[in-house]
Amino acid sequence: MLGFVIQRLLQAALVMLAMSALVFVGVYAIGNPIDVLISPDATQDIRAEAIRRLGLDLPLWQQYLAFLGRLLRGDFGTSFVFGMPVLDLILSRLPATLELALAAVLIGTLVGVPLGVYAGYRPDSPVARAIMAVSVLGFSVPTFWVGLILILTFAVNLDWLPAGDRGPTVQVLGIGWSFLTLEGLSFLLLPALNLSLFKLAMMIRLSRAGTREAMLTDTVKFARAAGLKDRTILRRHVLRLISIPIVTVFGLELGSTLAFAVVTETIFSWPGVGKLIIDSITSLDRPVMVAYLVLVAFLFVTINLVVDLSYALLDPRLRRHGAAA
Amino acid sequence: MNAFWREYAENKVALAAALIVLVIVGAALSAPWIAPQDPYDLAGLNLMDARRPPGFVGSNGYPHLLGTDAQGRDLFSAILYGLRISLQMGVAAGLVALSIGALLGILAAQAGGWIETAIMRVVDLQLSFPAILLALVLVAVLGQGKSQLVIALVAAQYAYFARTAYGAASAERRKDYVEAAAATPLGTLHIVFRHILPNVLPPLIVVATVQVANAISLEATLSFLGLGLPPTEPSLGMLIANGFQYMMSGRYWISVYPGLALIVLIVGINLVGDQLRDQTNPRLRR
Amino acid sequence: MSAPLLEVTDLRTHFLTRAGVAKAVDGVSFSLASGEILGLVGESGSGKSVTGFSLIGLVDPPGKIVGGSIRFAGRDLVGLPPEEMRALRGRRIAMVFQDPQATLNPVLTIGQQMALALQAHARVSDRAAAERAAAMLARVGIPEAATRLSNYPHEFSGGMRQRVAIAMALLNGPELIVADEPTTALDVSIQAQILAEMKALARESGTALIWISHDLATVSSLADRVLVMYAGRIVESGPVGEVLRAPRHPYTRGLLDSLPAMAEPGQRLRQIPGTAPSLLALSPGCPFAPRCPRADADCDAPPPRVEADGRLFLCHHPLEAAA
Repeated sequence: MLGFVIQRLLQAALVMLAMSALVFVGVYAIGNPIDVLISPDATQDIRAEAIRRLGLDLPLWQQYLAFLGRLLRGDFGTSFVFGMPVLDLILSRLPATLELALAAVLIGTLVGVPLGVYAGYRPDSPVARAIMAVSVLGFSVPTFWVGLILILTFAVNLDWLPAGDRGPTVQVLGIGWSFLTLEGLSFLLLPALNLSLFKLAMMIRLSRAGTREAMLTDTVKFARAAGLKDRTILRRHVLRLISIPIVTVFGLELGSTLAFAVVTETIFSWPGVGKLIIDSITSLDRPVMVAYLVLVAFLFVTINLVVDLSYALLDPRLRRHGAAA
Repeated sequence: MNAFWREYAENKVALAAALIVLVIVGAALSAPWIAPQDPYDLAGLNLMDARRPPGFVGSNGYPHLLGTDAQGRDLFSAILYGLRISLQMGVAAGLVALSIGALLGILAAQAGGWIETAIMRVVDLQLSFPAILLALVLVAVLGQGKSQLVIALVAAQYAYFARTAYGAASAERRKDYVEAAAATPLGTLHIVFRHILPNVLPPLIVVATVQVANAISLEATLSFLGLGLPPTEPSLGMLIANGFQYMMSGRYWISVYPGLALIVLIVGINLVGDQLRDQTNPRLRR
Repeated sequence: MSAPLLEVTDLRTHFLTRAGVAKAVDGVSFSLASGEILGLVGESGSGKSVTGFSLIGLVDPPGKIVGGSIRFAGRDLVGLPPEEMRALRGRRIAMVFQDPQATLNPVLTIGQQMALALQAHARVSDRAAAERAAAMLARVGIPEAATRLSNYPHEFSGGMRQRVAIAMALLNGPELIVADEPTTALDVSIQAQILAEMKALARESGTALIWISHDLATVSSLADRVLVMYAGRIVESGPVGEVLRAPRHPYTRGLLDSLPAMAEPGQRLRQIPGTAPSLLALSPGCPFAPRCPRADADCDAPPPRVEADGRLFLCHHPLEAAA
């Protein structure tokens, strides 16, 4: 088990290194690096001084090493727009995005998995067909459009829920959370629904396919031969059998949900990192862009790592292989 | 081939979807002839006609079937022209991504060794990374414009094609007759064009169908976020974005109709793609 | 003699496929007394497994019981409401499958799976379930049964896994166990062990056993009576010793000749020529005729059913009865 963990950690570090190189090449080497570090309003003297101080006259590989060093120290520079350290800026926005993404993935899983299991259990029933139609729509209709329709329906026409913004938050552990009050929840609901639709569609497909396959196995037939009720078989046997791909996707999707939150946050004016990155792209706030990219890459690598490790917990066969490896 | 279409036509939903997609593509291609107004001709616009509801008869004397937008543009015309741009972007990005992806996938399968490892590692890494972020970053770095947008879309999508081509090509490579042909001079090129390409193309075309829809959707999303094309050539996404602010005051049509056009197109293409995939997937054959 | 535990009459299980109706089981009749062990033998595709699954009401679609009756303890199982059939399965009729690797759920512990089998039929606390499961595992010969309840299937060897599956089948004290080739996937030495234990367990608990196998040799060491199936029908049946000593149907003879243990030393094993017929297009005549050394024009007509002294066979040209 320990060897397995170390191996995965090394892999993760390697991927991180590659990603940092990509970001460096993408934003530093292609664009004019000084733009990333110094406000365009700065005078010529300040610019020249900064180029020397930051070592931008050095060869590229030395610059990359310096860039890596700053990353490791968590020094991402200062936002031109907000005038504060980028890391602090992003960290202050992160909880809002995390809360939104988590709510979305939870909705997608808790609603999508039962629907998908049912659709896989009775694939030819009209209900299953309706469920699959929902999943086709969820996959193909763009997120932003669903967001607009949600606002139009529930905020403008019915006036049940707020159309945007985050509303009041409750401070716990020094961070504001929406889900702790009813009013906060009312602000969270629409964006979370919006963001969850794609996950919902994916969870439905995944658990439907898994269930269809599982229902044909001898394991299920044997459970039936033992006289188990279909409900019990679905809940205890099938759900466990399909849990591995579902947990994988749950984890991986948490990452991509953070990314897709870009769209939802913009539509619902949700004050998270997604809205921050869009704003920083439009206002050319490059330090924020760089930091966001590196952090998202870091997040992805971490999530992949956690998913890999939780495989081992869910699948007792892998646990043993991991120990042997 | 006939049997293929007969089987396709058995699925009524997919058949209807194919017809709808054809009608939309046809309408978009013939926009200059069927649209009542040239939405890019600013001189033809009248602000008096702005934000009028569907059916309003404007200063030009004809009814605006779907209403007008904030500049007084006839929405029906704007949607037809917007569809043109969306389709252009989607198809261009899809084709380029298909070519690059097929090239990389086949190269990886043929070359083997470290080339294979390197290409497929990058491809897999990219597949796990959300396409929209990559596209956002590229648009941010490259700036706005049609070709920049196509580059961003291609970068976000080529990996799917590469994966598919790689899978099909390496399955083909393991077959005996291919290995036998590889032993002859002039073997490799011959194999690629005579044996591998014909077997790789069908799954690639299926992927391409869905990816064109995804590219259109992604383009619309980028344009909606204000990072797509310049405002002089409004695609559907930008039309929707422009109408967004009026939605709160009940002028729903400016956003809703372009959105409906977008969704019917995307869902239609996806349904066609789903049916093609089911028909070409040997695992689902009974 | 009291009424038999199980009486199958003219059972027909057909598969309604796109290509036509496959008559997997077509007019099978037999009966079984309490505590009796019955061998059901045939090549793959003979309908022996489908017969077994018909008994517990688990024929996979597009298969369907289209006719006949299965009287079990006085009740007809054909047409029984699904919930009543479910309540019967595992409690009064249990089944053991061919491949224990595939039947046990790889991500649940043995204890969890056995508890589910118990709790499907009665309100049993988790603790009581664990105690009963451990007792049953010990009975089928699994050492340190109580500690092994928390093990996963992959932590058992193939033979041990099949013992676990057998323990699960015995858990609710069924009157009948249908065993579908349960030793085929195992090593020969373990096969013999399991056979012996299974026989002992059935005898000691008075459970009737239907042992489905393609292998006459396995059945000969275990069963009281044997049914030989071909193309969905029973072609010969009788007490196992008599049938093996003096088969009357040429197909049974063919099966015997292909057994290594039955051949004279130095003699070549004889395979039955040809393959089993397609179940989609059976002629009204004897289905074995195309492969039969004794066939002639008579065999185009349905074979006569000859029944005497507890033996049965369907053949125009049966082999001579032993002197």
